[in-house]
Amino acid sequence: MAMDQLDRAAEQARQDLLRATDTVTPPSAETVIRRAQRRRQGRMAAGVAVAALVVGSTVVWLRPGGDDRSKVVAGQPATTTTEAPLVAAPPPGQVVVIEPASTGRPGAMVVLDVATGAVVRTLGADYGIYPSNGFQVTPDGRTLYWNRLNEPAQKIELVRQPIDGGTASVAVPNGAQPRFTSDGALMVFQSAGNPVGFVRRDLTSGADRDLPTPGEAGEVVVNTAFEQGRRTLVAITTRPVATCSGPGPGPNCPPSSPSPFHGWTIDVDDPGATWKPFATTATWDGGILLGPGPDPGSILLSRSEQPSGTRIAEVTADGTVPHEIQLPSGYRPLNVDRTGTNILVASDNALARVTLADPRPVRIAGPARLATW
Amino acid sequence: VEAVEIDPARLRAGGAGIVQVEDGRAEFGAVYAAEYRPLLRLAFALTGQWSTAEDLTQEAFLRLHQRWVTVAAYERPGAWLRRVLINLATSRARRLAVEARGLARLGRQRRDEPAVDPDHARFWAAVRQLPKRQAQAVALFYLEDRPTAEVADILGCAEGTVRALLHQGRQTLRQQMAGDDTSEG
Repeated sequence: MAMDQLDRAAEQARQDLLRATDTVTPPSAETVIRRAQRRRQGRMAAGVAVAALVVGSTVVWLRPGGDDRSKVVAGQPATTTTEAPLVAAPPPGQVVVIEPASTGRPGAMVVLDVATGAVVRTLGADYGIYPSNGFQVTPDGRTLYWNRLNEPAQKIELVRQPIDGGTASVAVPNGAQPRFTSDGALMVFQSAGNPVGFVRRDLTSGADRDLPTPGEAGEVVVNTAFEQGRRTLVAITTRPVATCSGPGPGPNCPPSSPSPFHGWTIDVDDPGATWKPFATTATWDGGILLGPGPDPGSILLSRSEQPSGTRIAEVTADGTVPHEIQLPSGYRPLNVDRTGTNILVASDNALARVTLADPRPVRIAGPARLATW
Repeated sequence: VEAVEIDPARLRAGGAGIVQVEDGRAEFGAVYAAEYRPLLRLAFALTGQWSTAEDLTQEAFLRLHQRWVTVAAYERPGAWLRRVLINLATSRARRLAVEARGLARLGRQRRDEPAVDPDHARFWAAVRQLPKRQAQAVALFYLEDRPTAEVADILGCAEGTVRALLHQGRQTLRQQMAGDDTSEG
């Protein structure tokens, strides 16, 4: 193949880079090996400490900490990498879990102690369907909201369940995706309809007000989250993968090409507000909102990519991505606590937690179908 | 795992600069010596920052050391290293703003960094503007002069996918170069 202008430019750029790095002296291999050994020792030490704390329980430190974040600079002593500081908040003491079939109690809804993994309380069993978007605990940690199918009425009920074991009641007869402001004063949920609507509920007075529907014509809402500490709701929308009138897939129901995801934002306190595009450098395609992020005005966005796996990014209202982590292979994110720092993740055999500062999963309990702080 | 000095005569190329010893198991020190600069260049091409490139390269070797028992037996440990580095770079790309702020906070002069010709640096900058997978394929293809089968091995995808990524990436770069020529003319 004849070399064209692009190939020539590429070759020249390559030669320039080869020349530029000819004189680079790598840090000695021994220095790297010592760092690797220190990191390994640190993890082992942390593992021993944790094991001592939870002896007799089922909690296991999957990949103990002790990360060595120092960086070796060629010809200079080690320095510390600089990263934006992260708010550190202890994880909530309890987590609500829907157990999978592999536990022998499929659909059982239980409250677990995060430190020990022990079952504190069983809230019920066999509730039917649990859309993951509908499984939320209020910021005060006292009430669980979830969705269940009312088969005779063919409605998705949004059910309110006191976590201390009180009686469940229907909060919304046909609603889904509850989201709470961090002060717990407001809830926004999706109401049934075509297109679906959004309703803002004042949890003190019980007053409802309709909100406009986000997205362009023909798009669906993927999910929503409130920005940290604000009454600004963020939504992701996209076009359905396939739209068909009959049973699909088939000749009458061809899959359409994937369409981009879009981010939108609205001030739910402003009665005249409309959804505005969420300007950010982050790519929304294939992403879901996990919940509020750790910094004021931020949200957490999760994206799964092959082969790199699942990444979680903190996206701020000014469009930057100050923090991002990659989950270990096989883990998927489930939920984040009200501080935006403790993220529940699950694999095929474990429920665990991670933070933006340390993406190594810390096991809480066995497998979970869904879980929320 | 110990790094040991080995006789260079015992080394043989395992394809595209990948180093192996006679018994089929690579040695960490040899792989490190052979691969540090190529990885640094690849990291620079993908990130555009020497400090980030150093950080990514060292992190890739730290991870190599942690998994040395397994990776040393691979036919191409260098391919594993590059995949790790690319994954790290993908994640780091979103954090460049953070690093820039951090470096500004430090407010200290960095040591001398390799000098890249600004004209040629623009080429790598254009590569970084491509979608991530295209940029990775183009960097491996042009910078490391790898055949598409090896690029596919590193990126963990089919060779046909790599060819498509390269086609799209090269097309965009050509259009960009044509645009640059027009604007400069």
